[in-house]
Amino acid sequence: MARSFTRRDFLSGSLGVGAAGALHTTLGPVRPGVRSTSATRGRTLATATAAADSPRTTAVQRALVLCTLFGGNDGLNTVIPYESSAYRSLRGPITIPADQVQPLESVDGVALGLHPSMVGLKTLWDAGQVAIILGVGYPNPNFSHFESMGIMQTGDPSGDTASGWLGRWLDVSGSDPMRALSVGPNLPQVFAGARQQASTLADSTNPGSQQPGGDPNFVSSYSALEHVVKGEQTLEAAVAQAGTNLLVVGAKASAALTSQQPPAPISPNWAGDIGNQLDVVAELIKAGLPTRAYGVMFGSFDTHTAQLNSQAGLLSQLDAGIQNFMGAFPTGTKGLSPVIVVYSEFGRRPQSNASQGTDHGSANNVIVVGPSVKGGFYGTLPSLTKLDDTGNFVHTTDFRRVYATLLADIMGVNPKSLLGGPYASIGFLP
Amino acid sequence: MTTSPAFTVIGHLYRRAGFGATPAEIEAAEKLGFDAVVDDLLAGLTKPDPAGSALKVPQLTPIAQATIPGYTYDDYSEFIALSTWWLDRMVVTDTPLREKLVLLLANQFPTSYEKVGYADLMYNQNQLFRTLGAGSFDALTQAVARDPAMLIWLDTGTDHKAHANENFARELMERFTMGVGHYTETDVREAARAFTGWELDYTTGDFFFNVYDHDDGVKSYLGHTGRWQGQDIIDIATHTTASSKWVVARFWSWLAYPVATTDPVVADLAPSYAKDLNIKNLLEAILHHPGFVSSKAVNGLIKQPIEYLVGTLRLLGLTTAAFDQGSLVWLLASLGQQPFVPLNVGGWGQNQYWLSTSASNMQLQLAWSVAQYADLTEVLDLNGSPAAQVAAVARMLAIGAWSNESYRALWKMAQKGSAEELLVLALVSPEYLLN
Repeated sequence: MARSFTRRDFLSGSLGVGAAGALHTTLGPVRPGVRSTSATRGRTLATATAAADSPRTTAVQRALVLCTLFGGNDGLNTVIPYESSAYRSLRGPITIPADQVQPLESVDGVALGLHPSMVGLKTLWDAGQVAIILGVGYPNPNFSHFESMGIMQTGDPSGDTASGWLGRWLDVSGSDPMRALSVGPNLPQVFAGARQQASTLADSTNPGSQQPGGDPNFVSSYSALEHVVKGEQTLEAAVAQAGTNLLVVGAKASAALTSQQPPAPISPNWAGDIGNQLDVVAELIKAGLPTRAYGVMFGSFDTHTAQLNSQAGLLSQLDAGIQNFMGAFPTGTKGLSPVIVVYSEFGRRPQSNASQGTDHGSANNVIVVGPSVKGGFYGTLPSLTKLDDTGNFVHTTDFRRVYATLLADIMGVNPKSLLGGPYASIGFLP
Repeated sequence: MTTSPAFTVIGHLYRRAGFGATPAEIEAAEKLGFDAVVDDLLAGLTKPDPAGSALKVPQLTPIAQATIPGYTYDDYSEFIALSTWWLDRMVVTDTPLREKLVLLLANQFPTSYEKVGYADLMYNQNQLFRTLGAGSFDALTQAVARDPAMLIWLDTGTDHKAHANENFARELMERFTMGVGHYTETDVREAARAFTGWELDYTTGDFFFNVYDHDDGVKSYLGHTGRWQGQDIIDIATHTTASSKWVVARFWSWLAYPVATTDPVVADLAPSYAKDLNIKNLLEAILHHPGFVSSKAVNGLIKQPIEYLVGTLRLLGLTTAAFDQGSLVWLLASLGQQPFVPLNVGGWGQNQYWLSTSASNMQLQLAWSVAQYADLTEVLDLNGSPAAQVAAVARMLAIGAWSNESYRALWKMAQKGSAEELLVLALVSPEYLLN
């Protein structure tokens, strides 16, 4: 049963504040990122209406593109400590050879590089547009896909919260169904608030597919049919609300997609389904929609067996999708500046299993890409030799600090009440 | 229009314990009474299904042949044909509760063709649910654990003694039997050791126990210590109190309304389920429970996309034969519920999970697709009388009553639009979307 989000739910969440605060000194960009930004200095956002919070000012008007990787992407073979003997000994047959890794730079004396499939991301890194936050997680990691994804999406490690961290932003920022759009049929929990939720769009750049057909007379009857009586709280009212929102969102999305072309492919690699989703989002942003949060999702990263090939294929698609997407936003592009945030429910076990795969793990890196992102590494690499008693990484950055940064610097709201406590910004969105 | 309270609860029973019934069927059942209808549905769990069995199973390449080096065939086409076969099986069945149970079990043990990759194995698993589903939950779980599709899906088949893969052991406890919070990480690791050596023999397509790759040592698991084998691990899990609550809560949520394991109705039903772990007895207890006919239950669930499609075809006297097979499967995928393709091992959700702007859009597309094949003679004969036309469409869809908003919208459509448009609108009404 869905539980409503209460102040009490946040009490346990705020217990983590002390630990997160202590980490603050270790954060900050490891190198001064070379920032290539087209964004102009902006104005105060009008959307911030969180009751107890005062609106913040952000320098750049941005749109979040939240990319959820289902299954638990193996972060250790994505951002790789390729010179580390501990890495090679843990990974054995699924070690990515050092000469195939794309070197980035060293953090605390450990050389880190990108998976060989992620050639587009390397180009964007070199342009200073990629921030990688290391060791993101929460205490007492949960190894269940669903529980852990729930924790990542609600922002509450106790697992007692039903609403997503972006859903709670929707709850306090009005009722416009255009504020957040998730691509694909199933709405992720992150976008479900207690009262509001994101709208969803078909995974297709075809404008006609985004709205109901039929003549104006039919559409007008449909509109009357799906009319929601104020205060109605039944499942029938929820059905009607979705239909009402469809008429608004479908019309606007169709008009936006009609006015745009999908980004021209830059990557030589196939971008697959995630590429299609990112194409839709690129067109909507370029058309000037006011939407501040988009959702895309991609699986299946649950690589318990023979992971070298499967992960390489998945990362290659993700990489091509991101590179093509960013190609649509060259320097000087007007409008909202996109920020892609890539995360997964957990990382994977440092020690590989006997099936040339890895089991469920804990802390993971979060990858942030965009023209207004301050590139570089943030945070501390978890120790490869001092693992916890389950053989997993000990997290070094509380995941709510990532959300605090996004809420403050993209949504322009004070994140404190939405996250149940003060979590310091990480600074990758100056 | 008005319908009797008996019409409402018997219509509810047929929708939840099957895929709905026509008004004529409901009225015939009213004469028998609610309890007799429940007994009839339960009897169908173990009776032959003449109409369902008469459907021709598509030609599916056995795994032993499919894996011969150099052998080529089109597994995807087989898979689409298989998906359509399953949908039709639900549409035509004479034993709807058993077919509903198969759909529920496909969500209890979610397994995706996208990873399994052999249509034949998906068919075998589907049949397993049909033949063993109504019996002991322990026996069913034991069979599912050795089922080739599951061996591929959760990597049991690639396990090794040296370093056990935890995938199956974890989901066994978390999703299939007990739920989170009733086991430790140590339990997962110990259980995983017991499943080493469980393999799939690709030359026969059968389960194979590789004694040489099996960890035969002592395992400490859920408070029990011994040289546990995989079957012991399952046996211990299915007999826990946590499992009886988990299984009861799952079935109650699917048939009545969503509940947590802490709900009083679970405490009410779990002890008798725990005595024999018999699914038929559990279904009987749920359907006879006063809460099942409460207004909370009657208004408590939204139709899943498969229920929506299958139920609509049944009401309109259609089968999937009228449609392009690939496009029906695509519509269901766009609604988030493609047969044999759960999003992940968590399976499909409920209620709000199915509601979104794109879902409303796809419901409309599905409604347009279906309505073009419907026999609308009765509605057309009433041309010029919008109120009677709205009533006729309500009867086609076995809807007991309209809200004021829906009635006004439908009346206007009847007055200004075509019979087909009226049916489409009724098919996407909140009243019809509720199950």
